[in-house]
Amino acid sequence: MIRHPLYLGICLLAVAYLGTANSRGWSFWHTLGHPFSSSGHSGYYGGFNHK
Amino acid sequence: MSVRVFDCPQCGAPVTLRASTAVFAVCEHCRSMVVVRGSSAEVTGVMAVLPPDLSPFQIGTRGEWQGRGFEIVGRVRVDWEEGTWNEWCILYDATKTGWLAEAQGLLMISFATEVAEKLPTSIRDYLHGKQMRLNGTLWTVSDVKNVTHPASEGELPFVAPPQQTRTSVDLMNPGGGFATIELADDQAEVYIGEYVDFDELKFANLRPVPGWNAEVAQEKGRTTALTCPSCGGAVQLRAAGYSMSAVCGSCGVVIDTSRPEVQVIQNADIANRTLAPLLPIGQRGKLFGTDYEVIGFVTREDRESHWSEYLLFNPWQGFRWLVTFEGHWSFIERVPTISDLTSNVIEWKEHVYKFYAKNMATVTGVLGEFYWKVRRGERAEVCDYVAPPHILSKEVYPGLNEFAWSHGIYVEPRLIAEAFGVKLPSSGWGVYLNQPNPYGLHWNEIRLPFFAALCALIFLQAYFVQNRPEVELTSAHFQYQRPPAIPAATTLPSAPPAEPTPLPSTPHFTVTGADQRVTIEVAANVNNSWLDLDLDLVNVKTNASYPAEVEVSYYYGSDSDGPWSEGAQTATVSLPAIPPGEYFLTAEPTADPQLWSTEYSVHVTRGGVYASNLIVMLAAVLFYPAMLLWRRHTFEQERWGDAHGYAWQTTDT
Repeated sequence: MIRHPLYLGICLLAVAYLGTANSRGWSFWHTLGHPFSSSGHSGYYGGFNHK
Repeated sequence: MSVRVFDCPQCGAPVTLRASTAVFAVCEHCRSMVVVRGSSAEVTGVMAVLPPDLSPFQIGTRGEWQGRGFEIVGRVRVDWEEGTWNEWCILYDATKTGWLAEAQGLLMISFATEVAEKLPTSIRDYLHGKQMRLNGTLWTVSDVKNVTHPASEGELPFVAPPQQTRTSVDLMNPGGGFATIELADDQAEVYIGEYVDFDELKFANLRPVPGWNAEVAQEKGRTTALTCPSCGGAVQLRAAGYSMSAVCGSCGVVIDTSRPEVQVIQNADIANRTLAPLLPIGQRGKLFGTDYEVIGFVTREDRESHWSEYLLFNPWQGFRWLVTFEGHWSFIERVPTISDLTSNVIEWKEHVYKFYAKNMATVTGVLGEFYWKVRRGERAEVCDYVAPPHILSKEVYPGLNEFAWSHGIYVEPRLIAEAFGVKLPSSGWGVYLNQPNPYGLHWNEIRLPFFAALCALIFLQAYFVQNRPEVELTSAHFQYQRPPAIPAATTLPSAPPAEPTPLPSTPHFTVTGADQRVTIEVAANVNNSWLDLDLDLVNVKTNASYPAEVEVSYYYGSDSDGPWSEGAQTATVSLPAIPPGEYFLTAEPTADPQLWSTEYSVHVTRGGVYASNLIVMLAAVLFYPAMLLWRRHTFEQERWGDAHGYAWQTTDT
């Protein structure tokens, strides 16, 4: 019987996340802010003085 | 083995002597005491009938000890002031006479041994606790008593007339050794051996025990009945032959059951009638694979607490105790002596026990039967040492000139309830002295994955720091100039629209490799002012933009506390997960209105790793262990809050 499966899951998830994040240049906080975008870009450039 | 057979001078029945050392036998048929001298035999009297008991041994029982077989050939019933026990004479390895003592549920094997030291023969020279050497080994006197041999059977290596009194001195050593010095007729005979477990002796041809073996099950629970000398009621003995006292269920007096002539030890007590044991006397249950019957119940108290103890009996395993306090339970068994204490810590059987408390405990109520002559008001000094879930207790009986060690282990109430078929609270109140620390157990269970995850996280971070270095992509310098204010009147409706002002931007640069971090470091020559940059990293091919904002502010001065400064002339911002491609960076400045102009530069790099990822993952992995360790600490604080003068923190591991 596996003891503390939730904690074991957290450990595995943490290791897997750190490996993936470091290899892809992710930032945990940025991922929290943009949970559905892997790159985090916010739009398309509209040229000079587009604002 | 040379068997000698004589005709009983009294009845003519054959009297067999299997041991060459045997000089005395009791005729199986007429119970005549036959003394053998050379080739002749003579009768010296008639041996008393042995009282009924529940001993599983009998003449002819075989066993094994230290790889050699033995057989029981005789028995002496030994009597002393506080009770009786059996000494079974054994023929070991078909050549050597020895003894298997069966006392208070303990078994000891010993053999007559010549010792180099000259031993005193007076009882006055053997005080409880005295240390002495036998063949160079240090022993401690644990018990001194005068004994008689009221009855015997089989063959013996000495003549055992019932009226003869001897002095028996028991000694122990820390290695579980057992020794007896028998003093009689100015002679000191030494027997040395050890404590043994029933199971390790691999017995065969045991006696069926009434009430416990299936073939004699008709006597279950009704082994022997006595008549109460006070009220005439029947007192059922559940451990006949072992019980030295019992409480009459009808009138509540405590009676001496060690001798046929039953006597009252203590009169009834009103308080005794209010006792309500959770485990009924006579209830049987299986604990740790062994059937036990509840035969006695004692309540005890000291200055601080009040608890209950249940005496359990099994004819083969002897006596055990269940001690309960505020819903906590411990399973206790007697053990040989522990080495003399010189500190607050005992190492015993791979566990380190720490002194917990010492109190004078008093018996306040008794029900059932016991292997000693229990009385209400009986006092014993109790010392407890704990290594949860284990506990070691030393009880010193001032009146009996002896002490006893016992070992216990914490038992979950659920196991007790299941074993004896009773309803009990599922957990105890508060923290008990030998209650296992659940948080410590959980910590031990997760320690391995915790350290593995910790190492993996640190390794991963170090690996990527080493293999994903920051690489410079581009640098650019710009000049900020505050735009001139445009008066409203100068704007002519017919004037053509102004040409768009190009945003400061870097040359194109290429991000190669996989998705990765891009870091932009901004430096500006600001003094007591600020410069804010709206950054846009733009993919030349797709026009996808990655915005960021960074502010450079730097203030300084001096006040009554001396010079001070705040901020810096550089600032950094990172853009995560930028896909490979060709990019440029725009930097649109906004500045302090007081700032007319300043130079600023941007420096763009790719690669590197976020330290925040490691910090967050470490926090995720550390949170549960940290919580467990804190709870473990508070649990131990509560446990040791009632301990006597021992700072557990100093040696807690």
